[in-house]
Amino acid sequence: MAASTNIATTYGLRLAAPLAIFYAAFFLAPLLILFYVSLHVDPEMTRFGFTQYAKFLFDPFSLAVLGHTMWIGVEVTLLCLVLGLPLAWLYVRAPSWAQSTLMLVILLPLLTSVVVRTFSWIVILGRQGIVNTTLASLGLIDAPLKLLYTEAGMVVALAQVQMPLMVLPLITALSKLDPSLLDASSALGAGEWRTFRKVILPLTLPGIVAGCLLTYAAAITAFITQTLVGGGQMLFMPMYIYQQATTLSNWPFAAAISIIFLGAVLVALSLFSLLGRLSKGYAHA
Amino acid sequence: MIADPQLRTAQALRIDGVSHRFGANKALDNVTFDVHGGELVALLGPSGCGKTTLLRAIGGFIAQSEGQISIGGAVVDHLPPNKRAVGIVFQNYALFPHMTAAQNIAYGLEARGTAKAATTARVDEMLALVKLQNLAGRYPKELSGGQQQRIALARALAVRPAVLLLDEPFAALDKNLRLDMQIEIKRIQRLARTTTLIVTHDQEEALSMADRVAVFNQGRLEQFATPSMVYDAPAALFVNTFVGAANVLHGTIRTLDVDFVTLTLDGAGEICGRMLQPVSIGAHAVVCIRPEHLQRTASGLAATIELGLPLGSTIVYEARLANGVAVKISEPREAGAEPLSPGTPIHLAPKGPRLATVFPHHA
Repeated sequence: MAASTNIATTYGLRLAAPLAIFYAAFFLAPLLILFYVSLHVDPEMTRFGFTQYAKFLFDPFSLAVLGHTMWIGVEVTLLCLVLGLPLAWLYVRAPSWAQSTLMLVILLPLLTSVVVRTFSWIVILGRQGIVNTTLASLGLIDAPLKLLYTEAGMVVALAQVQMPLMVLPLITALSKLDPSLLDASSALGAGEWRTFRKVILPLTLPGIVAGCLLTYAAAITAFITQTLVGGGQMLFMPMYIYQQATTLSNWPFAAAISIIFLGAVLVALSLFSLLGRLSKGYAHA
Repeated sequence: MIADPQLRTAQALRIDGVSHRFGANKALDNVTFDVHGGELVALLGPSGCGKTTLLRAIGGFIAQSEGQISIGGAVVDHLPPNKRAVGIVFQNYALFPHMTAAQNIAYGLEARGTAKAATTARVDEMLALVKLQNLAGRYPKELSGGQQQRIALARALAVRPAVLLLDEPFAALDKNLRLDMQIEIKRIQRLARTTTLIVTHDQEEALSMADRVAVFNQGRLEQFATPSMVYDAPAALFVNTFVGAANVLHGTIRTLDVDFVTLTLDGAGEICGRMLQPVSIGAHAVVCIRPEHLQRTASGLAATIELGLPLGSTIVYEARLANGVAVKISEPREAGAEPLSPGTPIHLAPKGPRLATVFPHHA
């Protein structure tokens, strides 16, 4: 028993070694270098100290950028959830011939380059874009609405880009749901809303949490979409780090912001997954 | 014991000319029958015979193509499942896995807006009815199959449904537990006096539990009668062969009386039987005789013993008629009696002319 476990473990470790080495070399090592850089007081990196961290944490502007970035993530995640849940439900309930078409539609954002998708949003949201020309030709608006370079426009674009990350875990969770549970709920006198709230939601909560985790992490770090659709007026953490590092060549400060951003994201994700674990205990499935 | 003045149970159920099609496939073909209030009826038939389709139509999960379903005298066809007052115990029980046994039972009461105190009282009452008071706080996965079934039954009965539907309730239980649960469900059904339909493909289950049995074949209701009637006086060839064992012999009608006919079996002799549907002299027909209704006689159909199986209280013989057709005979075994050895010539006849049933044969 002990011997066989040992053999299994050795095999497991040996098979995992290439990936472990890859992570150590290209993920852990750069992260340590990043941390090392962040511990310097001056951009020339001659003296050690925690001043970069203090500079960020006591600077209202920097904290506002961090807060705004985290909040954008919440908005995108909620929008993805509200739009993604009906889509996932539609997919699970659709006949199999329609499912393959739907799956292609769901996966399409993943199969297209981020740059292409983002530029198409610029075309859609621009002053002479599809939305504005349609509304104008219908006589609903006199002057074009400002959609591009607004927070709302950017949230919509981010939600579209990250949608598969929400929908795929939701589909997995919903297809595991036994349809006879819904029939049972209905036969016991529950309307559709009660069935959704009391049966579907609690039993798919682990999938919902997984989808939210992925969407949130992807949305707050989406450098290209944030920059191109958000425009220059709004500053988010990825762009902030980029500016400090490349434009101002202040590598220690850029490194410190990165570490703080990483910490903030980890805290947010831990809260999400804690919710997931609680729901798992609750769901008993 | 349930003593409630608001009892909505014991409602009559009427199935009136119900047909249902899935594409070109006719799952139910003009089915009509009445179930009395408080009666336990088994819908019996092989898989794909339409019994589950009928159950889903009564529950409101599918809308039948034609016909009407009424409960307690009121047509329910336009009502969704949650407005029908039909309780269902699903084949896999469909207990909510994230709720305890007590929460499962309370679900329907809460959905109906029952007050908290009344809900708690009713849940306790139902737990007592199914004798699982001590497991109220357990989750479904912590319960055995039989316990899960009893909770599912308690959950369905808690809301006092007008009609209770049980879909293959014993299929998932092992054989020892099955008989216990059959007795248990019968006891609970008697106490609650709920009009109950049990869908099953197991004839023993149907015959032992039901007040009346509805035998289905290919979407048609072949017979609706008491278990004894279904067994002793099958109304159709399908019923005769599906319920219990039967020897099916082919022949030609030779003489006709009011109720009885004489059949010439192809090269094996003659046999007299009861006629159910009109047949004419010279027509092809089949006669069904159950193994225990055949006896060895001095004269009759000549046959040769092929095999004798002593099965404790009975002996079952396989014998071959003069035309080569195999028949089974079952007879009581006296203490110490040994079966006749293979090759022994015998003569066979039905124990009475009513016990051989003649059906027209459609080749």
